[in-house]
Amino acid sequence: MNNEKDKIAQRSGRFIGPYEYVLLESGDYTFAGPDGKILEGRIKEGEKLDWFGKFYRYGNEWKFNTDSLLNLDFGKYDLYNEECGKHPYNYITYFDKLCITPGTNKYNNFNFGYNEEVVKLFPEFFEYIPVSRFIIRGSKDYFCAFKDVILGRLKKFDAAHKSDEEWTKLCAWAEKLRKVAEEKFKQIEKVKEAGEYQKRKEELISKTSEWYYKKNDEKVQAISLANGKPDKKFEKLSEEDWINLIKEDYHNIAFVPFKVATDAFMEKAKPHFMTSIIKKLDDIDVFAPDVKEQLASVEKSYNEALGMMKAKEIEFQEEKNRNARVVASNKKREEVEKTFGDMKF
Amino acid sequence: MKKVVKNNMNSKENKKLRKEYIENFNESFDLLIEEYSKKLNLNNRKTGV
Repeated sequence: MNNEKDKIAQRSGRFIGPYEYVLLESGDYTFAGPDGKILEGRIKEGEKLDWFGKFYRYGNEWKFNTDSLLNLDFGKYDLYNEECGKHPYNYITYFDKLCITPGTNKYNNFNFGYNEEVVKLFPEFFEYIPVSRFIIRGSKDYFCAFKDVILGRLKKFDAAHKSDEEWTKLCAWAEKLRKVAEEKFKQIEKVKEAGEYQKRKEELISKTSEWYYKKNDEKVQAISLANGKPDKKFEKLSEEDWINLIKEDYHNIAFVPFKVATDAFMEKAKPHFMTSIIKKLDDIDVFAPDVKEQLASVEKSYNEALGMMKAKEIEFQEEKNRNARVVASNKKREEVEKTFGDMKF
Repeated sequence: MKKVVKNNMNSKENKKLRKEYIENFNESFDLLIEEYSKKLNLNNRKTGV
């Protein structure tokens, strides 16, 4: 760690990793710097973000420990770590703010909230992925990732020889999630059968093709709505347009992450366009009852995820301390053995 | 005196049961995915960008 980074670490009171990150895509980003100052603006491709040390490495995983990342449209392809020579796509391992977006990026992959990495980390969130995402994606990726993670946990628990009681609990959890997958398949089927999705998509494309959808390689991609501030493409829309859009496009807007992400943003950033929209949405009670339930439920999961993250941090710290103690004790033993081994009685 | 049966997570029987459960879970989940993928015309797993 160089001096400059030490200083930053001191100021921010956080661990600063020894890595520098390079921004892969230019764009409008919003960060909170280590001094708490909000940085906004267009960052050029290739620009180095050395204070981005709030991402750090834990074993083979990348974690980030930031409550300052305010950019809600931050995909895994936005950063590149030179030292590791790869996309640190695991940097989202733990997060204390759901910096997620309901959009897809230009690669037609899902950013943050909906990519498979998140499903792997928090399978509980699978339930809240909107049906339209599965349909747009058109593959079984999510389901495979979902199955893999559940299976992985079962295997891990089995290998750890947990108690019968814990095993039973885990099996119940696995069964519950399998039902979630089945339910999701049924929802997709229903939407597809009714032609509802296609109808909605066509309507939206015809109505809003310029600013809400764009065509790319014959694939329709949703543009992020929760990127913290309206994209230039959205500038001409009035608040009323947005509200109508959200009301109409029930399936294509991820209410849950939209709300959570916006809350995360509102908490830290200065008031902006989206804030007033969300307030209006609350006022006019646009959320259907089941969406309200989902919100309550995802907020619960979110809090649990936070708890899990904190527990992991404690576990990591304890392991680190334990290792340090073992090293110290071994060293001491070696010294004693050396001393007494040389003594002649 | 009544024999105390310890809850031995490493017993052969327990290990076997767990293994079976994991295998069944995997297979049945695969079947579910296959069945619906066919029905809904979902493609194979895509590789990341």
